[in-house]
Amino acid sequence: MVSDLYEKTRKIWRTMLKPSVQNVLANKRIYISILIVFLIQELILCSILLVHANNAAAAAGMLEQVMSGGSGVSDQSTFIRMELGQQRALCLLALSAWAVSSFLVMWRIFSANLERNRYVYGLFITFGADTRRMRFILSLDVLLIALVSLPVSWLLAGLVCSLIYHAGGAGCSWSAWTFFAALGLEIAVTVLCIGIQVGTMIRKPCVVLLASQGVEDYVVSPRRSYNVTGKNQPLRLAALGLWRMRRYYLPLFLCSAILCGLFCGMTGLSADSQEIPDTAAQYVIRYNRQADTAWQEQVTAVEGVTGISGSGDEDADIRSAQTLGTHMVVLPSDTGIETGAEYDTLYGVDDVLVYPANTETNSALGYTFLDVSQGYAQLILSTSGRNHSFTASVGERIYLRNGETGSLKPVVIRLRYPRSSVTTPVLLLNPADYEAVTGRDFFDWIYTERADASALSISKGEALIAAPRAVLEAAGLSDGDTVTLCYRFREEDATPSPSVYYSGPDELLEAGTITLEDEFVSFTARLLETEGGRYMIFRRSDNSIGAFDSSLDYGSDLSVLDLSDPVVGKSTVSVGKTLMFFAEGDIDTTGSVLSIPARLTAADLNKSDDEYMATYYAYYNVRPVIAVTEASRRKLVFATRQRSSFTTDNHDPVMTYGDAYYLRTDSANLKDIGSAVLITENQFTSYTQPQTYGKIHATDRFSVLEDPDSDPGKAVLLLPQSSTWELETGRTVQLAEPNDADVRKYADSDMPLTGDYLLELRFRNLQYRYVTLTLTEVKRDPDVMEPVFILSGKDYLAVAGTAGQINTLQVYVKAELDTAKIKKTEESLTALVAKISKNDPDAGISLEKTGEIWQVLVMKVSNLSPFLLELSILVLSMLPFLWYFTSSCFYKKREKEYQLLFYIGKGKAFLNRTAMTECLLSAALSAVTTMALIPLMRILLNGALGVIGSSLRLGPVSWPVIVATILANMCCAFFAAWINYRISAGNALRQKEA
Amino acid sequence: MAILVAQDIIKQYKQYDRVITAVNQVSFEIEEGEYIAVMGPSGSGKSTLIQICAGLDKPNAGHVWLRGQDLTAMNQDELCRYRGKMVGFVFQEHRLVPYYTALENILLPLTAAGRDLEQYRERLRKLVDILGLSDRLNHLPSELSGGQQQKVSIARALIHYPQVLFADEPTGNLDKAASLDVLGMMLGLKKELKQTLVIVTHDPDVAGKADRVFLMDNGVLTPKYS
Repeated sequence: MVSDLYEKTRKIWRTMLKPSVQNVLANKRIYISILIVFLIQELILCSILLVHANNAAAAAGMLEQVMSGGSGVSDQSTFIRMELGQQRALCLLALSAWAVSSFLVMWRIFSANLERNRYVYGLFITFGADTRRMRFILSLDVLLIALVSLPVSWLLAGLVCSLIYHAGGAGCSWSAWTFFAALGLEIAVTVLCIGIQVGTMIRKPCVVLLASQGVEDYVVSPRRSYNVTGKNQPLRLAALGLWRMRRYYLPLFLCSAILCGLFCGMTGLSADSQEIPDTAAQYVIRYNRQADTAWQEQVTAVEGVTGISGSGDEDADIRSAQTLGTHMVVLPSDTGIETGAEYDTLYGVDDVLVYPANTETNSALGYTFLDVSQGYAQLILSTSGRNHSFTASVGERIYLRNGETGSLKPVVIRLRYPRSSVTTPVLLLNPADYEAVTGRDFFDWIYTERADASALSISKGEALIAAPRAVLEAAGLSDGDTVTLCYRFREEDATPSPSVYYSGPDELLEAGTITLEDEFVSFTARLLETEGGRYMIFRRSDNSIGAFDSSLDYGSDLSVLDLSDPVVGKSTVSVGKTLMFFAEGDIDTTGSVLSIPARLTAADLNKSDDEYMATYYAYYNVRPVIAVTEASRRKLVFATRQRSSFTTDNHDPVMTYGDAYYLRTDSANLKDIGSAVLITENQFTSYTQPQTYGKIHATDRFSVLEDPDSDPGKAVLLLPQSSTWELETGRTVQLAEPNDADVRKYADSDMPLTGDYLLELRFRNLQYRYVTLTLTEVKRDPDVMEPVFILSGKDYLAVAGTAGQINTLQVYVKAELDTAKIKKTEESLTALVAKISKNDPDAGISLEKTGEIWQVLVMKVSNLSPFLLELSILVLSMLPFLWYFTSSCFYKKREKEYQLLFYIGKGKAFLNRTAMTECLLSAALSAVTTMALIPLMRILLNGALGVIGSSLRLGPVSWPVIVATILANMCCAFFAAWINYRISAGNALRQKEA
Repeated sequence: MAILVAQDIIKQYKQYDRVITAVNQVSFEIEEGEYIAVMGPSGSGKSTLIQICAGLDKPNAGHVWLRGQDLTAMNQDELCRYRGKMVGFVFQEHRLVPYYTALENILLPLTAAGRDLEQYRERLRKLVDILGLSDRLNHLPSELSGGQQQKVSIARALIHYPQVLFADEPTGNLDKAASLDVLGMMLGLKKELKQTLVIVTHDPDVAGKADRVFLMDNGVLTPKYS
């Protein structure tokens, strides 16, 4: 056993390691250069890894402190996580940059090394070494060096990190994993670089490789040599030398310029990252302009607040689309969850933030909302443009952040039970179904029933109420109460929503597929819970929503729907009409006029209006909805009418910035449009291009009408992400305008009635009327960048029901390295704003946390600036070695040329002049390349930082830095060439003399 | 039985704007154990021909079968392995690794192919004894005479039991006495190790001992009849 091992080791030594060691020892000068470059490269790599390890640990510690409890934890942890995510992305970017630059430098060095030793390697190939073996032997050479240099680099990097961290007042840990990670990365880059070059070399015939024996240093071709005796020799010969060696010089110029570009970029970043403000506006308080401002004194009195500044006359009616996006619904296709008959669609409400556990960066880049109610997981995406990356799948572990408690807990996404397995009414009345069908908030008024929280099957008749405690208490209910399951209408529910298809009482019918055929809606209905029988569909002759005691003409529109179980009935009715369902016998079908109160009134039945309605009637408001899926219901398109003027003081239209189309309509269509209108996506598509429905996803989000340039009387639709809409001139769209409903009645009692909230309530409760418009022009606007709402005070008031013009107050907090103090300040501010809002709802006060304080803290902990400076210096320090080593190979090859020149009578002075010209040319060309590449590198670097979502941006690099870098590169080019020339010319002269 | 068959080999080089045909549609067969000499003036294509036959270069057209295997159809890796197993090559310029000792140079085919050196201990001893290199094994090539370097080159070509030994003017850089000495050793080894030997030479004395002699002129190969 032992002898076997010994023999194997011996064999490996003699056949693999020994040739590599011999090669290293035989080319000491070359390999010393490689060793130095390796040391620097590995120093950079180890620094990046150690810094990341320490910063991640510090941020995690900060996060842990924050997560230890208290209100507002969720926001704080979100900001920290976002910063943490960016730090990780920055580390990945740095590693990528390291890998690319290392690859380039190694490529340059190995390329010259292979050229130099191609004869020896040719012998190996001649005598049977195949590609695999050559790769192994050559990689071993270098890996031997890497193994020697890495521990040294790691120790040096650790020392530098310790110094920087201790100078910044923090500790530094030497994570062992960084050593192994560095080793792995070094090996990967080296093996890749060598592997490719060996592959290229071995494809050449052996005779080509062997032919370089004795002439590997001889680069003067007979044809070129003829010219050396011509006139203007020094310049000519120098230019000729550079041209002949272009294969070596070009990559060298590029390589050195890239290093210079990286140096400039990192020094710039280092300078930028130093500019961390000690105080920044960490919070923004918004309040109605008309509101009393006495409370501002209380804000300044909050401990930790260092100052406030207001913007009194500013029109701050700007709303990010994100703030209104919580009611956007994610399509199953966007979540990665399989769609189809077996699954219910996911939808939900806001308040809960989702973090996929294994993709923290993704979560940091895009908000995703999730609600857990009644044991169901409901996913919802915000309108953030960065949420495309979120894909949840069944079984994936995610973190939920509850909006009320702020607690963070991992859960596993699970789908609802397949509809086919539903046997009890619970699923027909669950908040998900109801909300999807009605678009209304479940918590307000829906009662549901279930046996317990974990099981979805219950006994019919038992009920629990699922609603916020405040709602339940307002209804006079307390813990332990049970209520009878009923179908209940409230006053506002009798108002048909203009944009909602409502499938009818869940006890009675289940919505089938609804298709649009011209002006009619055809639908199927399936009896679920009641016994079979004949049902009549009644259409109101007028579309008004009045009391039910009016006479109804059901004449020709009356259809009879046979719903004998399990027969499926089908009927067709006009769009825009109201349908009513009656049980057979309730309505006299013989006449053309039916007076409902004559037969069925609440008084007759001795029942309350609610019970009466719930027991005997249900109605449909038929809307042109196609291919109804719950997911699409709440995707809204916002629009507004034309504006008459547009100034900073009077933003007439609602406007959004985003990749957009302007859709211009004719004035005739705008006659009766209100100030702000809304249209559902369903309607939109059904009127424009039904077949494109599938292309419209939740990520398309809002579309807004605007009128920047059009003539009075014309309106413009501005649609973000409009590439999927495929709109054309001549198409009609339906716009919705707000009705007169007071949306305050939908508000939760414990929510402050801010303008945003009221606006959201209007959106969510769909309080709009509809107008049909014809598009007269579609114009794409590539300049529009971000989805931002700007509402005029008038429009805001009309839409939100409260004054839109608000003031902002910036609140400044000292950015101390004390998370507990910051937490306390935030909590105090939150409590103060809540108190003011409760005492004075009309103030419309709200607190926005910018999260900057956490960003500042994480940046301070990160010590980015000194590390970037260190890395930039290291990158630049590779330059002389890169130049010297590569030039030594070039000039070694030119010894024979110098010998030739000596033999034909050229003196040392001539050679000196030629070499000087050559060195100057080389330096000039390197300067030109560097100057050209530095701006390019800046663009690339900023692009990469943008891709990873980092807040760091590289501004214009200062001229002194650029000039110094170019000079450094020129000096390296010049002196590397000059020193190597002196050595080679000296050798040539000695050989001649010998 | 033919161990080496060459058929319609053409090798051309492009030099500036001119195409030079180094080997022009050459075909021949060599029997196992034969000693073949190829003679001809400088630049006639002799070296190119045996480099192609040994798999060190690829022809523009034609085929070379070595023990039934078509070398021209192999990829580089297959060719490397086949060469390391079947072919020995002695270069005119010795072609030794300058920083390897004589011993390490001799063992190069074994280390290059990753073979177990222990299995070749006897072979090494025998070659070293025959070639008289025992006291020079730890010397670098620069410390050896031309003849000694050539002996190292021959030992290196034979260490891995090649079935065919190609030698490109192995005595070209040696004086008459050393030349005869080296040739004698090669023939002795050929006889003892039962190998096929193909030698390119200018030396009539070397060619005179061959079983068959070919003449090469302007890329065309013709048998020489005595």
